[in-house]
Order: sequence, then structure tokens, then C-alpha cells
Amino acid sequence: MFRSYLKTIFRNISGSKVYFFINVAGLCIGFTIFTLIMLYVLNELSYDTFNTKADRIYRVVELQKSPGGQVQRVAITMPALAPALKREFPGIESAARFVLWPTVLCHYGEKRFYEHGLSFADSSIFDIFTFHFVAGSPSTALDSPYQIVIDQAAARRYFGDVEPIGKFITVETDFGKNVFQVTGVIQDFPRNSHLSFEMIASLSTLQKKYSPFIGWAVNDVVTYVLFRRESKEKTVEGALPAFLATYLPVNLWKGLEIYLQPLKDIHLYSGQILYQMNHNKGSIDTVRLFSLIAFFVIFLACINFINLTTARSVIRSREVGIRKLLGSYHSHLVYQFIGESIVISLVGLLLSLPLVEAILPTFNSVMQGRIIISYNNQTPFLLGMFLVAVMVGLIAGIYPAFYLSSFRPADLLKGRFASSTRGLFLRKVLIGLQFLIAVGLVTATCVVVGQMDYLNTKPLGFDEHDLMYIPLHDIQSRERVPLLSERMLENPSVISVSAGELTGSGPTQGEVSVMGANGPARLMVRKSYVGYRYIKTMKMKIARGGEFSRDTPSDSNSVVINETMARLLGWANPIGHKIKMIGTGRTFSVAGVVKDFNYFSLRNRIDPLVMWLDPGRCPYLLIRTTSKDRQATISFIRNTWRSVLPNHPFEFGFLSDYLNKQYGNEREDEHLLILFSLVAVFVACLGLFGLTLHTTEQRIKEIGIRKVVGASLTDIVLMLSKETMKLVAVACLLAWPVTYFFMDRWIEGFAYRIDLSPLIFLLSGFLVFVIAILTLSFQVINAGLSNPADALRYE
Amino acid sequence: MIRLYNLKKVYRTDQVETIAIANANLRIDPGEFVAITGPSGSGKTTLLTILGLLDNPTEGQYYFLGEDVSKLSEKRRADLRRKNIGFVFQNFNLINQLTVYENIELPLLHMGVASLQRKEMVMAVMDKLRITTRRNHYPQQLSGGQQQRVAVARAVVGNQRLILADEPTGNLDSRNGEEVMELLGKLNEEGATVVMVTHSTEYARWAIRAVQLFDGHVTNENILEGMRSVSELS
Repeated sequence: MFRSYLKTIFRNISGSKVYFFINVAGLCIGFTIFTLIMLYVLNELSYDTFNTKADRIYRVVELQKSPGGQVQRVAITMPALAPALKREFPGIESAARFVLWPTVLCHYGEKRFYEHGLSFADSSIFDIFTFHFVAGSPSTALDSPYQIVIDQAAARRYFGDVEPIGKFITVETDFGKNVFQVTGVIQDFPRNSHLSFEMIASLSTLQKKYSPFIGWAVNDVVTYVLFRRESKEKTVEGALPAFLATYLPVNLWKGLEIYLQPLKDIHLYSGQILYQMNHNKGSIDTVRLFSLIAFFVIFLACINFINLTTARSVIRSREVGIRKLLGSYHSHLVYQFIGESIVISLVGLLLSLPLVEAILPTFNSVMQGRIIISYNNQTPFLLGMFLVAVMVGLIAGIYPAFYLSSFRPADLLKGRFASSTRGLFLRKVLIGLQFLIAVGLVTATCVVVGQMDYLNTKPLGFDEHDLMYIPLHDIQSRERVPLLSERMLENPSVISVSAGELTGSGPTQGEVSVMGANGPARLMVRKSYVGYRYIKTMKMKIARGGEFSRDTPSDSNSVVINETMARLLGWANPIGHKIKMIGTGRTFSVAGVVKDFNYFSLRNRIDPLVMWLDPGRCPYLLIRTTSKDRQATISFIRNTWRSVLPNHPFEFGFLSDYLNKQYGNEREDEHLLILFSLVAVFVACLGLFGLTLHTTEQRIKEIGIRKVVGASLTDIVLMLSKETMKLVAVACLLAWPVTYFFMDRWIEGFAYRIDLSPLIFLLSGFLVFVIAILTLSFQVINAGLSNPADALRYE
Repeated sequence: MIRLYNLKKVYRTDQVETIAIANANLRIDPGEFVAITGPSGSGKTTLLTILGLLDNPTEGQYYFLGEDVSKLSEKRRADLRRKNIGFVFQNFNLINQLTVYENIELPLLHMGVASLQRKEMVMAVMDKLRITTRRNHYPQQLSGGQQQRVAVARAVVGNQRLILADEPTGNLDSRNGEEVMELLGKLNEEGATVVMVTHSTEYARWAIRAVQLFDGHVTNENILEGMRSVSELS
């Protein structure tokens, strides 16, 4: 019996290849997109889950309120917080501090490397997160200063085959040359972790050498806590305000609150949190958006299947009648048709697998290697996809199955077959739904593209082009900045040289006290350490006063502020006003006002900024060059660097590339959104194409008769496309408000944004309209041009 | 085999009520060959759908093999149909995607006959109807007469006791028409009960008895003295 059903399934398929192709192609594309997106989504959701105690681990986040009422969340806390929390709350099993260090030069014997993955932590970090020790013991590895645990990659890099335990690695940091003893080797930390490092040194080293890593005065470490199995983090959260009131110095942290962020939320829910050390930070919005698209594409393919199957039911109704006549039960036929749609769905899945295999490397390179799940050796994933395909077959097949199997055998005797107008209303609704999704996606894509284009072309307040940077990792290199500048400026291709911070990496934060127009005020500001000629080199604009100059010795007591700060303080002429730095107690006077520029992504608004002259703390050398003969300029700069700092490897980059990387995730998401929307619209068009093919086939006689009685080509084309156009119009009217609602919310996340003008909506509606017309046109014009005599003879 | 008492079938659409069969009383005994005749719209096909258990009557009783089947469920009707009734149509109604062999085999599959026995039964009936050489052909590859033979083979392959034929010669030329009627006659001689709807008085003469319908009423029942005499049956 089953074989007989299978036979009819396969022979039906071979008898209607075009429709089978449309169904399978739609499903195949659907599954390809679905698989890729699911790999991405699963990858994003897998972050930090490898930690066996993941559900008990929390990160402490501070809520800082500035006097202006602004609130910001930062994931960096005071060094004294972790021990105090552990002491005060018995429910906390363990607490640890962690800090990722800027790039440093490390060496062992002749081997010298810049290390980007050096971190410092308490030994309790090993109690909290899941580490696998290959050598050494977690309980003793970091219990004294100058101890270091390295991962296997670092062990291979420095020691090759030699046993690393007990060896010494020299680290050149801001606070001098330090020698660390290797006390442990761990397996490389999984990449799907918000923490990323290759070496962990004992935090007590920092505390010994560097006063800021003690006490409550500054925020410089990330704090993690591990709760006991039975304890409730809610009770701790409730007690946190009282805890802070007891411990915090009254004047230092006004309006500060802390809360606990669950480990499983860190990767995807940290969009609003600053100064986190998240590696590859993800966004739940993107995960949701892509999941929605994955669902849409599959759904569109399902609609194609339902529409084509019910429309073409007239062809199957005879088979149904005969089978029923011969005693087949209704239920058997339902199984047959559902089976058929499951087979088609599985064929779609099967064909999508090589496609995924082919696209995955490109997809992953667009995602900058974010996807680390490989699907082909993951049985559960493939099994999951198989179940999804079966579900899709079931969902797509269930309505057509009941619809088809409802044909009555008595109709066979009466020569009545199902008319293709049956189920017409439902088909219209479903096509309308496809257009609705298409219009929604196209509109959303237009908004995203418009917004990104706006951000890409909006002046940042400085010139990021032709600006080269070289990292200054240690004090020796920073001390050589004057000499380097002098040598480099000898080349006419070098226009200006300065030390400073890179925009995009973001200045640190601090609190200042000032006498504003309305009396004394304390203000949270961004602090930026710069060298001489920084503003000139960055091509920022001075609004008032001037910038730091070697000719003005008093500049070490001066600051330059931005326009936002002057405006917030109500200073009409800020020059000469005094600013007192909280913490150090030093007072500075305002020497200049720089026009506002964006030091973060354009998602963020511009905060008040204070620039200090402190070449010794500047992490980068910035070199503005002409755009001519770049290679020669680079090699000149390299040679100059090597002659001045022969023991320091030469690293460089361009600010424009750096900024591109900063906005990289958003750009990738934008590209993928465009791609996925196009695919979704294509799948919807496939269905429309199939249905039009069927309709024109069915109406061939009608078209013939109409032509005989005098209808022109235009009349026929209008007649056949009118219905579709009406559906597009209705879809637009329904899709626009919904899309407006969601895109308005999305765009609110940007400090600088485009207006959601009606033009965007009209444009996207028009686009879908044109695509629909193009899809229809070929068949409709063909039908209009056909010879009516043929059509009538055919009947 | 068949008893109809005051059988009525009414079709209702939104505004119109059509009486297809009105108070029909009919008895058909095992081994009979009955022709149902009448003009277009007289209710012949409706009567056949009810006799074939494809539809329930609106009123009245229908006894099939001694059982009242007038209000049976679709499932129970399917069971009875499968075991006892074979259909032959004017337009053959073969499944185009299945071969001759597979089309004939279909009722046996629904009956759950074992594979080996199924093969024997299909081969036997194909042999009997002289279509064995066509076993791997698809319906579209056959002439009308050959297709109708396949349909007849399918109707009797499971030893169905009742054959319902709806204008079995309607789409055939006279030679093929004759052949099909001969086939039905032969099956009837071998014990099958045949009920045939036809317009053609010529082919109606193959039957032993003719039931005439007019506007849903049974107007006449005649013993026919045509191709075969009543005595031939006994």
C-alpha cells in the first residue's frame, strides 16, 4: 500500500516538474537560510554555557548617575568590591576580580611577542569559571604575586616542547619590567566565551605595584560572583543599597547603584553596558531579527507549497476520487498527502545541505569567524534540522491534505472535478501575507540601509582618512615620541604627528568639579590623554582658544574641553574657567574648546569631554600623511621606527580601517539583512511565478474567448495582473504601520538618526510592486500574445 | 442483494431544492444484469452513486446484502464497497500515474491481500481480459477500449459480487463497445451481479431487466428479451 502511495508521489512529481521545482527550490532556499541563521543563533546562545556553574555566576554592573540626570551602566567596578561582597553575603560562595590588560611586550629568552591576551585575576576565578588545567593546580596557581597561568597556545609559542611550569616570562608593562613564573597551563579557553585571554597573572601583582588596584576610589576591575547552590541572588540584590551605603566613601560615588547581571545574559544583553571586556559582544536584537527572518523565509516557502498544491488540486482530484471509490479511507489519503509534502520538504532539506556547506565559509567570513559551531559533525543539529523539515512538511501539507482528500468519489460518477477556484480566497490571503512580509522586510532593509549610509557619510568631527597609527605599548616607546615625530616630519609625505588616543576605542571616564554658570557642579566626563598637535593631526576644529603647544609651558595645567561640556555648564566663554579633577585634587584651567566630534560609534551621543596634555599616557602614535604613494610612506615610517626603537616590533594600522572594524558588526548585520531580505522576496516571487503559471494555464480558454471578442493585449495583461496589484496595495497598507512601529524603536538606539519619512515606505512598496510585476510579466504577456484559436482548439 | 424502499435523494443548494430520486422501490437479486435507462437528468447516476455506497439517501431504506446501509458512516461504507462492489465508468477513471498492473492491483492493496496472492489474482484477471501484454503501460498509452478493459479488470479483480457500470460504452466506438458489453455479459454469466446505467437501448438489451427512470421516479421495469434469454441464466 505504502509503495503504491510512494509511486504516485514520485510519478506525480515527474509529471509536474516546474511546480515541483518551485516547491523544492523555495524549501531548499528556506532551509539554507534557516540552517545558516540557526548556526549563528545557536552559536550566539552558546556563549558561556560551557561553564558548569553558569547558572550561579553573575557579573556586577554599576549604574552611574551623573548630576545631569544621565544614567550609564558600566561593567567595571572598584577593586574592594569583590572581597567585601564575599565577606558580607554568606550566599556568595566565591568572588573574583578580572582585568584585561592592554597589549604588552612579553619575552622568554629570545622569543618576544606582543601579547593581546594578558589578564590579571584572583585565584578564585578558577572556582567560578570552568578551566581545564593541563599542568599545575588551580588552588595554588595564582595565590602569590608574579605568578602566571598560560594557555596551551601561549605555552607552545614560548616554550615549544619544553615543560613550561616553573619557567619565567618577562612582561614589560606601564609599571616596568616584571618577571612572572608559570604556575599552570590550561586548555585554550573556549571561543564562545565573553572572556578572552591567553594568560592570567595574579591580581596581587598589580596590587603590589600599582595603587589604583586597591580600595574604593577607582573603577578598574570586573567583578564576578558565584552563588551557593541554595542561595537566592534576589535577597542579595535587595541588600545591595545598604551594603554600598556601609562601604562606599560618601563623597566619591554619589548616586551609584550596583546590580547583578547573570552570566548567560552577558554576551547578548550588554548593549547598554560600557567598559565591559566582552569579547565578540553579541546583540539579542540581531539574534531576534535574524530568527524572525529565518522563520519568514521558511514560512514563505510553506505558503508557496500550500498555494500551488491547492491550486493544482484539480489535477489530483481524480486520483483521490478513484482511491476512495476503491475503498481507501479518508485518513489514508490525508496520510498520503502529508507524506508527500514531508518527502518534498526532506528533498528541500537534502539539497540545502551542500548549499550550506558551500556558503558557510563565506557566511562565516562575513561574520568575522563568529560562528564556531560546525554543523556537519553534530548529529543533534542534523537531527534537529530533520525534525524541522518534517514539521515544515507537516505544516505545509496539512491543509492541502485535508483539502485534497475531501473530494467526494460520487463526483467522479457525475464527471465533476474540483474547480481551481476552490480555495481561491485562502490563496489570496496567503499571497497577500507573502507580500506583507516582503513589504515589511524591504521597508526594514531600506531603513537600515538609509541609517547606515547616514552614519557612514556623516562627518565625525575629524578626518579619519590618511591617518596611520602605531600602538605605544610601553613607557620607553612613549618617551621617544618627540624624537619619532621629528624624524618622521622630515618626510614631506608626513603632514603631522602626535600622540593620543584612537577615537572609537573611547576615552576613560572620571568625575570633575567645576564652577558652572549656576554655581558649583560635579560632572561625569570623558577623559582623553593627548599629546601636542593632537587636534591638528586629527583635523578636529577648534571653536575657541587654542590647543596644547610646546611653546606654552603652562599647558600642563590646562585642558581643552568640547562644545557639549561648555554647553552643559552654561559657559558662554569657557576660556580661563577652572576644572578640578576629583581623586587627584589637581585644578586645571580651560585653554581651548574643540568642536564636538564622535569618539564612540554614532549610536552614542557625545558626552562632555576633557582633554589633558599627558604624552606619557598616550597609547598611540598618530601620523597624518598625504594620500600619495602610501607604500613608500609606510616603509619610511617603519624604517624610522626601527632606527629609534630597534627592540620594539613595528605594528601599525589606519584609523579608517580601525573605525570600520568598530562598526564592523553593524555593517555585517546590515549586509546580511539585505541578503536575507532579497532571498525572502525571491522565495515569495517563486510562489507568485508558479501560481501565475497555473492561473494562466487554467484561464487559457477564457483569454482566448476574450481575444475573440476583441480584448487587446493591454486588456489581457491588466486582467491577469489586477488581482496581484490589489494584493500588493493591501499588503503595503497593512505592513507599513507594523514596520514603522518596529523600525522606529530600532532607530531610537542611535544618537544620530534619519527621519522615517513616508518616502522610504512608498519606495519599498514601489519596489515590491515592480518585483511582482516583473515576476508576472513574462507569463502574462505570453498569454496575452497567444493565438486565441490555439486556446479554443485545445479545449 | 439490493432492496430499496421509498428511497429519496434531495440535493439542496442555497435557494434550490432538487429531487433527484423520488420514492424509488427496487429489488435486484444476485446474478441479475439490470440496465438503468432514462433521459438525461432522470436520476440514473444518482441512483448508481447510492447503490454504490458513495452517497447516503435522504430518506427511505437501502438494504445491501441484507443489511440496512441507508445511514452508514463513510468508513463503514468504504469497507463494504471495497469488499463487494466494482465500478466501471464512462471515462474509465484510471490513475494516470500508475501502470495497468498497478491500477488493477489497487483494490487488492486496499483489501490488504498478501503480495504473492495479489500477483496471482492480478495476473489471472489480466489473462482473462487479454491485457497481460499491456501490464507495464500507462493508461495514456492505451486505446479507449483497452482502458475500459483495465477498468473492468480492476472492478472484478477482488471477486466483487456487484459491478456498477456507468455508461461503460459511452466513450467507445461500436466495436470496442460491443467487446466491453460481451465482457460484462460474461462476468454476469460467471455469477456477478451487474447494474449498468446506459442511454443506449442497443446496449441495454444485454441486460435481463431494464429499470426506467424519469424525473427521479421508477416508471417501468421490463424483462428484456434481447441478446440473451432468461433461460440462459439458469
